[in-house]
Amino acid sequence: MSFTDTDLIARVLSREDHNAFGELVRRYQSPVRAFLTRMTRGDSHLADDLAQETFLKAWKGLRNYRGGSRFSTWLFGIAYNEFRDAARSRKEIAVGDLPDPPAESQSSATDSCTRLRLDLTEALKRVNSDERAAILLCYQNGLSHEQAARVLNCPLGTVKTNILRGKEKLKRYLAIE
Amino acid sequence: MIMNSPETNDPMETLLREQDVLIADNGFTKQVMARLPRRHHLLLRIIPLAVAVVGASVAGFCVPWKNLPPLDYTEFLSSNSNVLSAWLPILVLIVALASAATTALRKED
Repeated sequence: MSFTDTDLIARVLSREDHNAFGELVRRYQSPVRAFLTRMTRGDSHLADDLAQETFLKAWKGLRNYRGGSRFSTWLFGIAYNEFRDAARSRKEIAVGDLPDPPAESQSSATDSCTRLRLDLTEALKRVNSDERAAILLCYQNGLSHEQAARVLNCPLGTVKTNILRGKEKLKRYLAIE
Repeated sequence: MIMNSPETNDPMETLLREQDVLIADNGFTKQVMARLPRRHHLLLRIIPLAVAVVGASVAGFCVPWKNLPPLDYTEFLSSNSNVLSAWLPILVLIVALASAATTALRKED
């Protein structure tokens, strides 16, 4: 018998049921860790530390979860805040974003042959963290733009702009026409 | 876990959706569960307070209130043995009671 997220959350809140919370962790560890691994540009140790903190904060703050959004959306919000705090303390947001790719007009038929074609994982490391977060949430975790805006705590228009910009950069990196 | 995946002809969007990775647990859940703070049972929180209250009540009966010297702070601070010996246990008792109440009522981390 499989419990829904709502059932498990109710058991945690009413009985402080560790097993129910364990099931929630098991269900969502993969998307949360994958999101944080990409946000930290492949630093899986840091990502796992942040993911652990995410679930600990979820345990402590579960009473604040109103159920207005999916549990996964709420979790991604905590995970993103953990990433932001860690990045801020490491000053990664200010200095860690890699330079923009060359503009399309600068590429030519010859350099498209010689230019290193980065795969998507590498290319994602090169877009800035706001663009990366919006793209990962919407395309790899299936959130709507509105849900992503809630997770990232920014206006809907900003999410859309970040996705457009990020996708353009990725296309340039990957030379996708 | 895709919640909205509108059909698109954009190869970039298709590529991004295909990048969804599955990370094996490999003990992650166990590590998280080991770090969860254990909440003390209500009884374990109330017992220290109850013991302190009972102790204070018993002590309250035993203290010769009528024979206590007046609490003169200058005498107390100058370590006058009569004032100090009479009032110090009472002050210790009050501090212990306050400490037990704080412990019992303290919010879990």
